[in-house]
Amino acid sequence: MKKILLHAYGNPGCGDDGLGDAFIREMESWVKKDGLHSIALDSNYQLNVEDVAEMVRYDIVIFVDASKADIGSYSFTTVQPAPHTSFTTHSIFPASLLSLCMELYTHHPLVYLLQIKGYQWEFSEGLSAEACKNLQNAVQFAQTTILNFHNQE
Amino acid sequence: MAQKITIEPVTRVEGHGKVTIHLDEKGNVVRSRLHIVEFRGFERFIQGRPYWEAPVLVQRLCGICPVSHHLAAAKALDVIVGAGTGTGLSHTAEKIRRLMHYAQIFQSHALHFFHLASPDLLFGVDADPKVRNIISVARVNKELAVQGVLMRKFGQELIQATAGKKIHGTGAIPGGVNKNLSEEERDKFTKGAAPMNPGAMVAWAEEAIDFFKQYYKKNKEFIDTFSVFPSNHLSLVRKDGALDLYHGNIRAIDSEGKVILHDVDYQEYFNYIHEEVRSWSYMKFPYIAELGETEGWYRVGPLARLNTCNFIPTPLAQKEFEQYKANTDGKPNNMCMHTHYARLIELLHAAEVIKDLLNDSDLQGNELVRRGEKKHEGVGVIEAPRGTLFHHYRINDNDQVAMANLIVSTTNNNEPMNRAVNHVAKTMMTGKKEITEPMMNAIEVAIRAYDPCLSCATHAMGEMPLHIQVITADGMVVDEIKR
Repeated sequence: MKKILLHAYGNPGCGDDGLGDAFIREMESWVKKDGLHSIALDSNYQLNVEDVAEMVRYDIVIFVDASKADIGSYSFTTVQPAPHTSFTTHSIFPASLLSLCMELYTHHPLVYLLQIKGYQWEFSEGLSAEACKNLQNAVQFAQTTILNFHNQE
Repeated sequence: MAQKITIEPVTRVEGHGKVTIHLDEKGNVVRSRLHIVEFRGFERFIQGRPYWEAPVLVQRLCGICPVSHHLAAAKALDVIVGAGTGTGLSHTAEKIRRLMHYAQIFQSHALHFFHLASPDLLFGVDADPKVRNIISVARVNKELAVQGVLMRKFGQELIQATAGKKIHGTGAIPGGVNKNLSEEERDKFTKGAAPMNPGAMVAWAEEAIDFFKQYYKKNKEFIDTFSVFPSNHLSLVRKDGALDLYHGNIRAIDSEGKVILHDVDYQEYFNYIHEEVRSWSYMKFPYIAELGETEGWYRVGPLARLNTCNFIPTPLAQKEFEQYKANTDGKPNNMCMHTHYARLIELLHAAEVIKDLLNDSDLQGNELVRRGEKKHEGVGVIEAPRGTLFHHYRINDNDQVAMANLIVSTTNNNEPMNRAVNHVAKTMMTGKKEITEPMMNAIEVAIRAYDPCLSCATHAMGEMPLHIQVITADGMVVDEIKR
């Protein structure tokens, strides 16, 4: 049974930027209800370098983020390593974390990025109505996909 | 034809800063500015909310230092619930908050050193930016990179043990804290398997200082001359003049060490510090009122703190502080790149404080909250990793926030960052019309020494990549680089 980490990032105080955190809350009840003990959940304002020490413990890592891009309701892509880093300490990207993981450890997980389309990003609590629909679509997709991963030997 | 150069970051939420460098007809730099062009809306966002929500809500200002905002807001609300101005909490509550705060300082300083400074030092500030990053550090010096990752992890886990969840941390509440640190939680750190324990963190912090000192020995001229300019310096200091990152009075000194703000009570900060608005930036320009807008600007952060304090109250950091001060014969240090050195001494201090606090049985005490006579206004000030952070709230009779004013560390450093960019631009740009890689690197290094948080300063979340543009006096862009 595969060990899977779902790691969302974004700011719930900035409208639809909280899609990742909302996704984790939806998945939390599903994971508990179905007793999926090999699936771990995490959520933070942003990705950090120390997340590499956590991701290396899993077979599969799925990062979850809100997106402004024209992706439909959501998109699910494989992350390839890329050593891009930000000018300040503000952020590190999934591809950079995977690169760092490959440099530091002998094992590295398969990494995916689930992006959920958002629309408004100003200081506000709660998701827009359209983002809520996209969230439900993404949750349905993720549950099916994760169960497939989960049951792989 | 006069010219202007612009550095402009792009972010997901469109919040960004940019740097413009203006050239005259002969190619001389006439002025440089760090512009912040993000809407500043957080103070309005929080108006009307019940005051007790503020310590949770304000964490959403910044994904880098949510703990600093959490604690500064809680300190302001301590005043409102009648728990005093920094000394009225129970021993347990104050020490839990200190542990949370020093863990934040520790992890933030570690991140800056390993993620941003060490690539510059290992590969040189002129190295290809594609190489100058933490991933390349991991390739050539795995031990250093692993230390950086684990120091961050140690600090973050301590924060989680004291503040609660990573998002919506609730540890500090008006008048105290909502939980103590159980013996089991404490033992996870004090008896943690090597290297995840306080002793290892102290040792690694010492190694980081040694790493910097070795670099300094070989590159003294660069470190001592890059972006050097005199300034005032401001921070909190403890009553006896010690470095204290959680609580104290405001002290400011000038570039020669003369005290210009004599340990004043921060509840009255608005009598001493005013904020200037300039048309070209959303970020305000704070200044010491008595000195005026032109002369009253100041630096905050590690460099300023080690200039204003008299001593550091932990032995290993104090020893390093004495060596550090010897570089300037005890006078204030105005050398921009020494900020990295100062930051590492604070990293060591934070590790020592954490080690001591974890052995203090007050952390397991049960008196968590104190309250007294309610007030309608309160100010909370804390030394965040990047410098002094002010939170000021006024509430109405319905317990709603009626007014909020925040002066964040990066805003305090607004004028110094502008000066730093100007200094570098004048040194490297005069007579040139194209942006070269060394010039781009130098501007980047100058701004980065302050570890600015534009998300924080403009009160909007976002990244901060870099974008440089050269524009002539008549407004024509003649060169442009994005990074």
